[in-house]
Amino acid sequence: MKLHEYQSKLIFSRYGIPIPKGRVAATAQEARHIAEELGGRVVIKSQVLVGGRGKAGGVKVARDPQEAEQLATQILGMEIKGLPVRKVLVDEAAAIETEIYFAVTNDRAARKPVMMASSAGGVDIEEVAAKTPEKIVKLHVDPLLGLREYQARDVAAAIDLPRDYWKDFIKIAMGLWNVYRETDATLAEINPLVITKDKRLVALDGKMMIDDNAMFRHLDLAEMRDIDEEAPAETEARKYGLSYIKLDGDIGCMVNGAGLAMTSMDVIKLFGGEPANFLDIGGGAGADKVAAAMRIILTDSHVKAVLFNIFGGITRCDEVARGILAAMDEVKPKIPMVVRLVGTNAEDGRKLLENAKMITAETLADAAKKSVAAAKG
Amino acid sequence: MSILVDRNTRLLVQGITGNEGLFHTTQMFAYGTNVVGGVTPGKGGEWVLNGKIPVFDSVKLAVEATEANASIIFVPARFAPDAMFEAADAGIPLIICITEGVAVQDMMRVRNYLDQKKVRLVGPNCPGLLTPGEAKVGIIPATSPFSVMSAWFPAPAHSPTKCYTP
Repeated sequence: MKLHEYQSKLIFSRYGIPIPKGRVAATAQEARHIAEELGGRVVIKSQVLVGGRGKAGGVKVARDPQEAEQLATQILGMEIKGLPVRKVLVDEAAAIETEIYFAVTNDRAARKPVMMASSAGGVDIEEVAAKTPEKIVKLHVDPLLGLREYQARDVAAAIDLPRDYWKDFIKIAMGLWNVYRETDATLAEINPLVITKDKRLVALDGKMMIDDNAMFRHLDLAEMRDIDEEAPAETEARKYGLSYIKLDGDIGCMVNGAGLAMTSMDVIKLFGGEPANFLDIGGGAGADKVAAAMRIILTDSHVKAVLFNIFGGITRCDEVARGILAAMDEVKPKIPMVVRLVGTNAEDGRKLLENAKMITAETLADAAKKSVAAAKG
Repeated sequence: MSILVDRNTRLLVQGITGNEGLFHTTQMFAYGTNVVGGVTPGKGGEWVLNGKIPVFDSVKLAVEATEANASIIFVPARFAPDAMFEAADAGIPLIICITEGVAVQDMMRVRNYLDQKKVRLVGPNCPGLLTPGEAKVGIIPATSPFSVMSAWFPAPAHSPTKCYTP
């Protein structure tokens, strides 16, 4: 789950990381009031869950409350990379001297958290990473020990941070580590962490992503989820513990296991079809989960055929078959369904589906061919 | 996977009285796997599979009683990290964790701890291991193409390899 900038910065501040004064606004009038409260120059920042907001014109500086209102009106009407801007953050404007990139994330290959910092922070950090990766300092943290102060000091030295700032930097580093650790973040990023003209370190921007698998112990964070920013079908899918991603094709796919789901999509494409979605019903999916998955697939009006590819390991094919029957009963689909069941209780599953009007297939290739043919009518 | 499990493997099932645990213990036992015991905290003293397999309160107690040398985990994601730590601390050298959806940071801690103890971990989120004719330690269907690759079994009517050939 991604958090908005204003949410991330609020969490940062709880961990002792200095952030600019400011608040979030949903209307231009509110933005004006906040600007009046703050006094002086303010920054109006669109709150959407995509990168590159500044480059898209979604971040502007206002000299006074009146201009703040104008710019907020403009930004609140914008769409950035397809996402409408519903909120803006109004922050006091900082006089920036230096921009630093600072983040903690997972290094999957090393199986450890990694702290990353660069003195070349700011909006071009992707380019820095691509062209001059040596400018980004990386430090692995032992997940059992946590970040130690000497490590934070090493990072400060490695990015040539002047010694006067080391004490504050270490405090921010420990704060960022604790944010990452205690919220089960997969990314906790400050870009930029700036040195202001009045010699302070301030986190001007914040980005966080939380591990969905750890959400059970972060109910407070779960409430921060902004469902306006997601496709409705994806929100619905999450409610049932399904991984669903909508695509542009016309063959709906219901598969158990992410790997098999991707393989199924590949094979559909191999035979000239286009998958309408990625859907992993997960291991051990029962009848109600299957029924929910089918409803979700069929909400997409482009779907002309559905392929069920179930390899029963922990998932039991008879359970899935019951789910398919229940869902067919409920939604009464008018499009062809192709089903392939293999593995645990597959025989029982096939028997259950005998009387349902479904096209059966023995192998994945066979199933893919049949669904491509069915979708073409 | 005979380098990891075979007929001499003494298998423990963590979460043996749960839905998945019990179902797959039955399947593994039917295949011939040497399942020596199970663990469900609070259910120590009970037996499953018609009195064939004893249940213990902890992995430590189970290891003392059964000399188990491998453990398979069927507990929900939020409890799986603790189950892996517990198995490692009880001296189990091979852990197979079937559970999917374990939090990433939990896994980084588990993995680094297990590495220090030189414990081998297969999983989490995996189908387990199969040594045809000797031991099925996991949720791999025993009639799947994996098992019949062995010459020990007659080939089934349909060609199993076709399952994965487009």
